[in-house]
Parts: sequence; C-alpha cells; structure tokens
Amino acid sequence: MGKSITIILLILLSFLLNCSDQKARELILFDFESPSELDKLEWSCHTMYSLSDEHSTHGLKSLKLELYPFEGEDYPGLTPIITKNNWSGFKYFCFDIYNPEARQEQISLRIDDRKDYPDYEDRYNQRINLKSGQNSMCISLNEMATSATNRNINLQNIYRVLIFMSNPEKKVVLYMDYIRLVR
Amino acid sequence: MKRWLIGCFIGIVLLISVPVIYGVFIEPYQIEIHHVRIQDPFFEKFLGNKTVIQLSDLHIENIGKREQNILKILDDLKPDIIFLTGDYVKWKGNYEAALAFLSQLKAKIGIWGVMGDYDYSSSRKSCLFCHREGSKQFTQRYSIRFLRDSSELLNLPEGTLRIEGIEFKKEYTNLSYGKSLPLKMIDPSIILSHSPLSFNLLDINQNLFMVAGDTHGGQVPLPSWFSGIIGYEKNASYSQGYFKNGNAKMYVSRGIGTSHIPIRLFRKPEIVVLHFSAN
Repeated sequence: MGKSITIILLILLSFLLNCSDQKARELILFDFESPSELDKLEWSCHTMYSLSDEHSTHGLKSLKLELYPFEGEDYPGLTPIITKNNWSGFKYFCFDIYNPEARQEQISLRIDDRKDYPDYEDRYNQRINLKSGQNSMCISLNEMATSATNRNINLQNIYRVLIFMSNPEKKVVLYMDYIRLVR
Repeated sequence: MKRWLIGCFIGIVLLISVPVIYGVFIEPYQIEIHHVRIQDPFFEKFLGNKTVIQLSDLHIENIGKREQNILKILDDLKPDIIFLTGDYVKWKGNYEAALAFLSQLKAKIGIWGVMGDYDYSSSRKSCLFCHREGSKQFTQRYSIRFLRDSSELLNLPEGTLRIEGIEFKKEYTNLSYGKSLPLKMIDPSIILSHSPLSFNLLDINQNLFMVAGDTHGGQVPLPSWFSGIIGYEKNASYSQGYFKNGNAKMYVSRGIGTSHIPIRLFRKPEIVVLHFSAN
C-alpha cells in the first residue's frame, strides 16, 4: 500500500516538474484568445485586426490581419505593445502565420532595442517569405543584429516589434498566432 | 502673538485656496471668444470674408455644461470653416462623448481636423474618429475630414486653397530642424498640427499658416525656462499666441480642456476666431 502511494506521488511529482519545465521553456507574448488582446496592439490605418476561429495554432483563436493597399508609401501590419522588454535568457522569437493565398507573400520583421525610433541602419530588419498555408517562424535571438551597424541587438531592451508588409498591391489577409519567446 | 499666528495661517490658506478654487471651479468654464487678426494678403483673399474657427484640446469627458456652451457659442458665430487641432478626449477616456460632441459641429464650408496624442491613448478606439466600429468603412456620424499626413484642396470662388494636416507621431519628436516631413508643403497652405513644434519643420520661405494647440498655454502662467526644465519644450518655445518666422506663421491656441491637473489660472479656455486681413 505504502509502495503504491510512493509510486503515485513520484508520478505526480514528475508530472508537475514536467509542467513547470514546459512553462519555463517558453513565454507566450500574444495568443489572441480574447478581445482584450486587441487593445494590446498599436492600431493604425490600412490594417484591420479581428479575432478568428480559423488557423489557430495555439488555443482556439488567431489574429486575422487584413492589410490594405494605399496610394502612397505604406507599411500595414502588426505592432504589438511590448510589455516584456527583457528577452535575455531566451534563444528564439517565434510566431505562426497562416497565408491563405496560393501565392507566396513577403513580410518584414523589425525589432528596435532603442526607445527613440532608430533609423533602418541601427535596428534589426528581416524579410520573411511566407509560403502558402501555415508558416512557423523562429528567429534566433543570439544572431539578431542591426542592419548596417551590425551591432548585436540588446536583448535586455526590446522596445518595439513590427511585422508588416511593404506597399501591398492588393488586399492581403494573414492569420497570426502564438507569438512567443522560447528558451 | 497667538492671534497673529492664526491670522497668518488663515491668510496663507486663503492665498492658496482662493486661486485654486477659482482655477478649478471657475476659470475652466469661462470660455473666451478670442478674435485673432492675421495680416496676410494672400490668405485674406481666400478667407478674409469668412468666419474661420479653431477649436483645440477639448479633452471631453462627457457632454456637460461646458460642451453645451461651446456648441451654443459656435451656433451664434455661424462658422464657415472649423479647424480642429486635436486632443478631443481625456487620456484613455470616453471616446463616445467626444464623437457625439464632434457630430454636433456645423460649418458652412467644412470642418478639417488632426488628432492629438490623447486621441491615440487608446489606439484601437482612435480608429473611431474616421471609421465605423469593426469596419474599414468611414464613419457617417459627421463630415469632419481628418488629415493624417495628408492634404485636401479647398475650392473656393476666390481660388484653391490647400489644407494640410500633420499627423501626431512620436517619431517626429526626433526630427531635427530642416529634416523633411512626409508631406510636401506646397505653397501656400493652411497647416493643421496638434503640436506647435511642427512649426520648426516648416520651410520659412513658403507662405504657410499653421494652427496648433497641445500646450494649453501651460494652464497656469509658468516662465518658459521652467517649462524647458521640466521637459515641456513645446511650452518653452510656443506656449500660446501668434508666431512668425520668415513667411511661415502660426497661431497656438491654449485650447479648451485640461489635462493632468484640472486647473486653469489666467489661461481661460478659448474658441479662436481667425480674421485674415490684407493690412
């Protein structure tokens, strides 16, 4: 009897340890599960945001982005309000994007480690090709460097993340989910 | 001695409480119609015979007596044109009240506006100034044209006048003098900007007239050096009133509402009536 209780306790303990390990292995920044998360985005012209039941990769919902073309120069996309500024201790910045179109789309990722809107040269910029369907992106944080100054991004001071398209020629719809940091 | 001390104490209390009571409960509601005369032959040609109104920094919480009073004053003034220079709401405040107020504005020729930093305090709700909720369709609540780094041509019998709106963007605070804005300022134009600091970005050789707000005139009289020390460059440089640099001119309204502390002392809320004359 005593032996069985010990075994059960050990199983429970290993389960709990496993759970806490899972929890610590990643930090979910945005999961787009409730309307309140829409208030954690910088809303701007030429992009519509809404929660969707389609193409979710974590939880039940995803974020539907409708990116509209504009006559002038424009960069419609997503600017989540970052409250977790210290990314040190994590290895990857990951997110999932579903591209419902048959054709490939190109998006850009920008990360600022300075509050004062650094110029292109002194921030992280990366073009990402999205194939049709589901795309799971993971960017190595240790290799993240600024475009021209080639300075390693200061992971203790992440102020701004932008995921956007440059001057889309027609309306583009994308579904985003599960924006996270992974150890 | 004791009486003297009590007298002093009462004196100090009165000295502090009287202006505070006046500044909190009386002056913020004493809306002044401020007639501003601008000497400019070019703009006189277009706007000389028109009633041009500027409203700024309303910071509306609800449609109360003050707001009703503004609407009544505007009704009496019968404006041809209204320029709105931003900050219609309190910080993350009641957007619905501000939108309801804006929907009651009327002007014979048109109403143009820009948005201020407070209007973006809830970025999701800020979309409601131009769009229907949850839609990219434009709002039908009013016919105000919000100019976001954009311009419109106003065709008048006297000719065509350009109205440009400089969008409030945090990035612009980084711009050094002379660095160009996304807008091409085409001479001559009326420019709407929430921040008066945009005046620094204008080409002074061009015939431009800017209306701005944001400063509230400091809400209380403060020396410009003090505004500079506490980081309010806008108040240190352009607290309120008329400014000219080369051919570029600007009027900075002290606005109507309050922010941070609900007080106005010797900085009455103002509805600005712009009169353009040739000489």
